[in-house]
Amino acid sequence: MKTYDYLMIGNSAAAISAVEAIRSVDDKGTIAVVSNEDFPAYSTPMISYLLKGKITEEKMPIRSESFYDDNAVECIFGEPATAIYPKLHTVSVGSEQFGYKKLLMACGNKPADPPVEGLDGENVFSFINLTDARAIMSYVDGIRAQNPDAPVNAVVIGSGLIGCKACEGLAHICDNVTMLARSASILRSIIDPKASPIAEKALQDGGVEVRLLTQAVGFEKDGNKVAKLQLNDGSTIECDLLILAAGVVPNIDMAVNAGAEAKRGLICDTHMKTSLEDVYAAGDLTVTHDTANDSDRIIALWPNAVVQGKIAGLNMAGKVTEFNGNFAMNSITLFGITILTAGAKSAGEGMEEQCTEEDGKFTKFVTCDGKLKGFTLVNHPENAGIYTRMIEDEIDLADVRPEAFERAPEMIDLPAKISWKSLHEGMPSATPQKAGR
Amino acid sequence: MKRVYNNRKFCMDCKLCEVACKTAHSKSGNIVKAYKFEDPSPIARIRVEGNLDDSMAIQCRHCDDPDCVKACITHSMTKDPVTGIVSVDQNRCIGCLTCVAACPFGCIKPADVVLKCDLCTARSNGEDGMPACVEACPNLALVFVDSEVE
Amino acid sequence: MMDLTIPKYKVLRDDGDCIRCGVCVRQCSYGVHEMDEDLNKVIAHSKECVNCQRCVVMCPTDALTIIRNPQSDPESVVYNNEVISDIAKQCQTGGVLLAGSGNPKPYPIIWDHMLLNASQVTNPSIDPLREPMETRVILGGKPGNIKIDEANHAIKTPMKPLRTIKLPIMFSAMSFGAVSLNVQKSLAMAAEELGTFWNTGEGGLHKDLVKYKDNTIVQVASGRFGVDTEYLNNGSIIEIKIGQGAKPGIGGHLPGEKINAEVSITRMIPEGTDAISPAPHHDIYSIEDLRQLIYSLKEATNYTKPVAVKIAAVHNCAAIASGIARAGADIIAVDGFRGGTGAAPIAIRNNVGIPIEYALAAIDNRLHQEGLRSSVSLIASGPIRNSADVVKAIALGADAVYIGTAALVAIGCHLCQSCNTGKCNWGIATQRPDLVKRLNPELMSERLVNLMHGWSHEIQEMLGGMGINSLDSLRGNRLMLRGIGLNDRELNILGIKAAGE
Repeated sequence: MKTYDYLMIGNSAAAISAVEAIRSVDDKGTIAVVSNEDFPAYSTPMISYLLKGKITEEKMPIRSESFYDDNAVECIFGEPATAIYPKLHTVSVGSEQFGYKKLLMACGNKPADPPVEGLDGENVFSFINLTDARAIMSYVDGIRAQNPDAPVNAVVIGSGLIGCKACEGLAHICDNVTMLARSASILRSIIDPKASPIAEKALQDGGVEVRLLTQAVGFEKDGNKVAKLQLNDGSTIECDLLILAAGVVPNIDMAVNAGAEAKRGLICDTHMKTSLEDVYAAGDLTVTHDTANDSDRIIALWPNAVVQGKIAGLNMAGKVTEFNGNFAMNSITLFGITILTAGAKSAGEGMEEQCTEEDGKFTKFVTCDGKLKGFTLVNHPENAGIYTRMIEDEIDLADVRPEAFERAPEMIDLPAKISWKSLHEGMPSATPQKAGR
Repeated sequence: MKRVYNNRKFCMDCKLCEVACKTAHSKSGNIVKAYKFEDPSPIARIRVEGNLDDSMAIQCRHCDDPDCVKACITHSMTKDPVTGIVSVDQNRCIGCLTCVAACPFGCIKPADVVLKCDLCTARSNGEDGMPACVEACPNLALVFVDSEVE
Repeated sequence: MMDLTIPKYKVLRDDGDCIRCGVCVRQCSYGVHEMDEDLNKVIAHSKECVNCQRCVVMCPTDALTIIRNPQSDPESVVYNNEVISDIAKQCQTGGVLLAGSGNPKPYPIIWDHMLLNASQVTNPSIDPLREPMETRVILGGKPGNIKIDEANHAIKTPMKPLRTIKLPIMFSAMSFGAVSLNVQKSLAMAAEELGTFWNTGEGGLHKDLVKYKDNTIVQVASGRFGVDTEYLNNGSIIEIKIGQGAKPGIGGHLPGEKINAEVSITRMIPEGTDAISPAPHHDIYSIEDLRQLIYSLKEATNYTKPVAVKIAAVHNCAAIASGIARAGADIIAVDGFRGGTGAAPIAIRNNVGIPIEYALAAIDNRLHQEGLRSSVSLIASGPIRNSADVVKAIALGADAVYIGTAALVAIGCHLCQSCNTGKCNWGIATQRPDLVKRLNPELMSERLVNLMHGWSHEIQEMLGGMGINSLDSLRGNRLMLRGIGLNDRELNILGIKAAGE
């Protein structure tokens, strides 16, 4: 049995970030990465762009081809890890066992159970990784080849981020795309229902039929295919292709079975260590302290995975580094509209919120005790990161020029002390002027 | 690395830095063509904020530990370990704008492929590699000096 | 009332080159340029233009040209458009017409009627790049003769306070209020680097500039603004201002709107009040009175500092200078009728005073005749435009010169003569913060230092050409000058021969 100093389960943002962090302090320790997919690390959010034809697969890797060799990382690709034995410090991958000194759980999440029990078939797909995207594309190619003239109807169950991005991709390869949204608005976990009509319109303009307050209650099969869905309004809808995008759950079963403490996601200490000895976790499967609204929840977003991976990696390699929570920050482009969000989506207790809507633009700011806690910007992306800074640095809004919330924010809107300090970091104290010429 | 620093006290809101940046990042490199004939119109990566009374020019700080790089989902935003320059690979960027949401200085221009200051590395005619904005500033309100952090 | 004036200038914009970047719009404090969104063009209100050329210089595509309005004058050389415009303005306002900078009228410029000598074969010329060239000047009263203690190798004669400057050029008086603090900072920084002096003018010494005290001349004028013992001791030389070339015989008036908080503290007067310098010093009605002030200032500074007296070049200035020397002054500064100002009645600026060249020659003569020349240093100004003017001034008898306008030109001034409006686009003659910040003293002092280095090299070349290796050997050496296009009487006054003689 082979034993590694560092063993990573997962091969995406968090794991890669952890590898780089480990290598920044330890260039000798052995590292292996376990992935159920047989690809080098790639950008999962790009799968909708792949479907859309905006990019090809060559653009998906997030590191150069030689990344694993350069960092002396062994790849154990193609089979999922299935069990952890924390006392033995071993992991089962397929039929093999691997030993570890430090283990990182960074295997993200998996699709939630289908909304109707047993809803499965050869034309039913999830949409969370490259394997899914490839399967969808080859399936569509297949039915097109069989019957080039017949329109291809795709149905997407779910109106969250994955559902919407799936629709955007499918709109390019299918003839009819229908989105079934259980609620009265879409992207509910990301934007205010008031901004939903802008997104709905963008989807519709892009050729997607959006059916609100609609859910599948049953289905009819044709051989091994799901041919029709029965809907809650009594109607039925035909589907050549069905995408299940009704949510994801963290991929934590094996950690929980091994005794790791979890509450929806894995619970970690400030060093990103789980309750199990020498087992760390990072990314979409962890519970993160959300600093924007002081709660503990899963923040399944890329930047958070990168930060957590880095901190987990450093701690695994012995360089003690603290993680003091994070807040959500995300950007979505969807059929030409942009949605940038960070922090709290809506006002919780003791918070306030303010929305403005104008010419297809929507802004929402959530504040608490005179500090910015969250924003939603639809079609209003300019300089958005300055708002993110206001959340992160807990800048007192009384010191910020009010114009910052009436147009795109600017550095000059921030108190001079803050803007000067951050803009002049590292400026030599000696008069630099003449040196600059 | 060398960084551009502004001096708010002497910025007079003339915006010649924006003009120079736009020209430097145009196809033709010619100021009149850049402004009047090129389609798409080139975009300045530096921004003068404020008004005549109080203004300052802002461009990418090429941060030590850049939030935009951490946020980038396509690995197109990278910090060069040697030069320290944070740049975006125009061929890889898919315009998801996560970096725009992350940049604490608001220095990434949202577009189909995002745009940002490259310290004029692509410009060959800059004197001593001086960025166009610094060269254009008539009042030393922008300086290009060795920074004390990487 | 209907405005009878016509635009003096016309702003021409090459529409092919204009990129509508709006730099001109943002840079013009007179509101000449306007971005017209409907026309998608920048338009110009030519009548507001004062021809300061800020926009012309700043335009990144050189799309702008300002021309004199080609409107033809009436068929009269007597009543041309300028005369008519002055009358039109005055009949509309009933006030005194004011303008800045110096006398612009086409009186002869005597500097340009004098030519310098050079050595050929005999008394060979000197190459300043290979041989030492002394450009230092010692300012102050020197004893007529010296007693030496030979045993101890020491001078027994008591010496008056003296000051050494590394080149024969100083920056003339421009007060904080008339010019911006950044102008004074630029001058002070340059003076320090060059080893010469700048002059506070009658506006007090701002606290930020006290650190340049070793290179500062503090001025005491009729309004006594900013003067106290501390001020006097923060200067290296004290100058009593009796008059200035641009407006001999009249005082000064800094309007209340230019007296902001900083100016108010520095001048020691309430914010927003007019700062009026009386025409005469009300305690000086005679040379004896002047002597009292000179000695009061010496007393206040414990006889450690030279005291200068500045006068305008007027008809009887030679006699006045003699009196000033006898009154105990260590330095006499004479300012010619072309000297600049922040604001003066046009009638005075254009018609009062005499050329510095004649005044300088006459004063130098008179002091020599009376045996007073070595008891004082003589400084000439108004106008000193270039290194040749400096050399000619020294040959006529000056120890050193003051430059004012030339220094301002080095930091941007384009002689629009609108200093009095307070809207100087170059950040010079203004107190508006948005305009003042256009002058970065770091940059401007560098320009001044460059200019002075350039002049210094040229002065050394000219000296070397004459076979002279020290300014002391040029001073009053009128054989080095020849007149051209001057009549006998003028040559006589200047004490020089005609070219060819």
